[in-house]
Amino acid sequence: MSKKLIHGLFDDDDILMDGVKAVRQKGYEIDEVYTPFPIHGLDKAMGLKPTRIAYASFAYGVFGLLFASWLTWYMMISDWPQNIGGKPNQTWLQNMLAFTPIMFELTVFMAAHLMVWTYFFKNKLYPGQKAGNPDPRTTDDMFMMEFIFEGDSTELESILKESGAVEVNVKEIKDTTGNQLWFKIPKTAVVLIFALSSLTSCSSSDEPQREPNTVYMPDMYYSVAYEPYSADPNGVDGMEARIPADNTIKRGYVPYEIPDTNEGYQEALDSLKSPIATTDETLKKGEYLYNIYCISCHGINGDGQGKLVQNEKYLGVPSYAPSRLPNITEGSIFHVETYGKNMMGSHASQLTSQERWKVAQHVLKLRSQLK
Amino acid sequence: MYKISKNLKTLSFVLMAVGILSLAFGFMTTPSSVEDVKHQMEQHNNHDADVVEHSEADADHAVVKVNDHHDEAHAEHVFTQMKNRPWAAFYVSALFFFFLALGAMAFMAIQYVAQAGWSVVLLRVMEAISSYMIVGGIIVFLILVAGGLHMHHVFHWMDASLVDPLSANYDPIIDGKSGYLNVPFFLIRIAVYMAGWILAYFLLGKYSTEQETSGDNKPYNKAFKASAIFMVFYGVTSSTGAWDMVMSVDPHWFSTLFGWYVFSGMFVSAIATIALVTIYLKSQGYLEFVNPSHIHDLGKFMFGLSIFWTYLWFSQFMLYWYANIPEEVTYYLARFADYKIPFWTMVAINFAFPVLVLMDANKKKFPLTMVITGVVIIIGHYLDVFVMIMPGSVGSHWGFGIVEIGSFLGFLGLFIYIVFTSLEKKGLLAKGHPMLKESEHYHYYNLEHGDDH
Repeated sequence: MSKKLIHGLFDDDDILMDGVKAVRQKGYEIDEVYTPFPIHGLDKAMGLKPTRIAYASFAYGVFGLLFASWLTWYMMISDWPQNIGGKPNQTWLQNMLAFTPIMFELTVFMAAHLMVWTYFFKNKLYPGQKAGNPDPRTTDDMFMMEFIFEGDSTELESILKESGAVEVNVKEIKDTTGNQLWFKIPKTAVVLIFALSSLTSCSSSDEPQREPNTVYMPDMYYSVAYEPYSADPNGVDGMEARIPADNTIKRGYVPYEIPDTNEGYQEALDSLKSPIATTDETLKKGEYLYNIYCISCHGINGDGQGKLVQNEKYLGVPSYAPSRLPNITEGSIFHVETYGKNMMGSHASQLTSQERWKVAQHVLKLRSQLK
Repeated sequence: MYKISKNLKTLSFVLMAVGILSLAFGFMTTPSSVEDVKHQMEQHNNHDADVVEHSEADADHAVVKVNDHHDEAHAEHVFTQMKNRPWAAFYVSALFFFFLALGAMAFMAIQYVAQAGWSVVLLRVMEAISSYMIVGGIIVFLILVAGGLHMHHVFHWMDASLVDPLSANYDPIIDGKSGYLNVPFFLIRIAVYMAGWILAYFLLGKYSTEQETSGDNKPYNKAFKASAIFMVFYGVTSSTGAWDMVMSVDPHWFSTLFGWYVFSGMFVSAIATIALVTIYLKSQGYLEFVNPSHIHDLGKFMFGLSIFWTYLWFSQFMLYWYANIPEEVTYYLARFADYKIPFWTMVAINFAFPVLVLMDANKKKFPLTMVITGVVIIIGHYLDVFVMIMPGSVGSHWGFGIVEIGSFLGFLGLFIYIVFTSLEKKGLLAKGHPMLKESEHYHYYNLEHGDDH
């Protein structure tokens, strides 16, 4: 026997509610109810189960949190460790505070977006989807119960009429074997996406602007006074800023006079001596700083096998071992820390001269432990 | 009409007695002079020396001799900190319970300003909790006056020698702030804040009573205006008051969002208190007009504001961690050095617990869930105030003993007594309120009221 499509139309939401209850009482299952506006309590009357989308959202949130934890660990610790504000940075936990905003954002992002996608997926909503509404009057002032029914429907029809349906329609459903695929993307969606992409790519770079833009409150944009570092025809040397007096140094800065040349390197190697004595305290500080600023390339033992080398981001980092670098002294180490050498950059802006000496002490200590 | 039960009355008196006894005990066991402290420290040092003797006895002796003068100053410092401890414990509890009342007052004013309909049946509970502000405010103020009279130095900056350029203790930073941070101006400010807050309480209470018999909505409209003005006043003074009453305990340190941080803590704990009092009254058969949807809404506030508190806590903490500026990180270094356990416990139970327990929509309507979470939130925010006050006033000489627990219980007793006796004075339902019917029929659509109605 073929299936029938039964539509019962109502013109009042209260009558509809009573109708739904009456039909359900007789043991009939309602397939769908179409209404122009949401009716509180209708889902319960129809016997729909409460949505579980909140649990899905929680799971997505947890997934986002785990994903962000993995992402930050992989990017910032494992693959390419980075020094964040001069803090210990070799484990994820040490830098977790810096990652917390990312973890929070991805948790919220995944929970919200995946929940919305789940909602669309479950409701078969996608761009260009045709309205699944069988009767346009239900978008205006009518309420409709829909049944897909097999067998004798006279009792159901009479229940519907008794409970106040203004109209009951029965239609035979043709046996359509080739069911429409839910994911079949209609032409309108393709057209829409194409139109959008062509619109956004249509910025006319060749054409001159017809009207100049307007500056709102020009006094705020164009200073009447000279800008701090601009040219100034009335100023000394034609500049607004002044050149500091000769031999000026910034507070706490210790000048380093040996130049960044091969001869300079040799001079530091031969004759530069540390102004601070090696004690347990300075060694401890040197180790602490080394493990922040140097460890990623030079490795914890100074064998040139830091994470960045192991991951092949940088190659050719030498070991401090006497067999590899027979000719280094604390002076040359300090010189290299100050100016950099080959691939290595200067660390003078990150470490003060005192700190560089302490790191040099630690480097020598590591060297003495290497073969 | 509500009548406070005999058991509750007895309980509140017992708690108050416990509080007074433990405070007396705290003051009695405090070392009475610098000599006592030195004696205690000597005993302590001797004990240490025994251990050291075997290895580096000679070197140790040399150090002790050099540090003789330092020890003198140190003993005095320790003495003031130990003397502060019962005062600080007293102050933490006094301030915490005052904040509960002030937070409830702010919540009530927001109901009027927002013209909220759902909460009308809870207004009398909020009024009763706010009524503690009078006694609680006077106690807090007296403690501050005692500080001004140098009976204690919970507020380190009140020490006059710090702003005397000739003194050995002269502190240029505190002296630089002395234009704002001096005892008379400080007390005047606090008095003005408290007067404003308490005045608003009296006005809202008066209008609410008048509305019961008035035929029109005139008292209600006046309450709306008073609440709006109070909210502006409170918006500024809750922040400046937090600087004075809490942040100035660490006078070198400052944080721009501190006022909101203190506010969010007091707000969430006040809402937890409203929920607890409501659920208690319901369990005694009162407040028959309060339904699970009202409780559910309080749960939503507790959930959301717990996250808000954590957001502010983290905003402050992460920026300091990132920038690592010495004058800023001292605040957290002091907490990491000596207060690790209360500090992290408080973060965990103020954030993780309410968020995980109250996340499920349906759980918030169950009285048991709400009671457990409410109690945890209140304990957590007491610890929050504890961790805000203690490091600046007693440093490493803190403890969680008879004085702390006793003064908390004592103020709890006082709070219960005042809140529940003021509930007796008026009907539990704010009759005549224009939105009373809306509140009585309030039903969160997704919630089954069921039999627990």
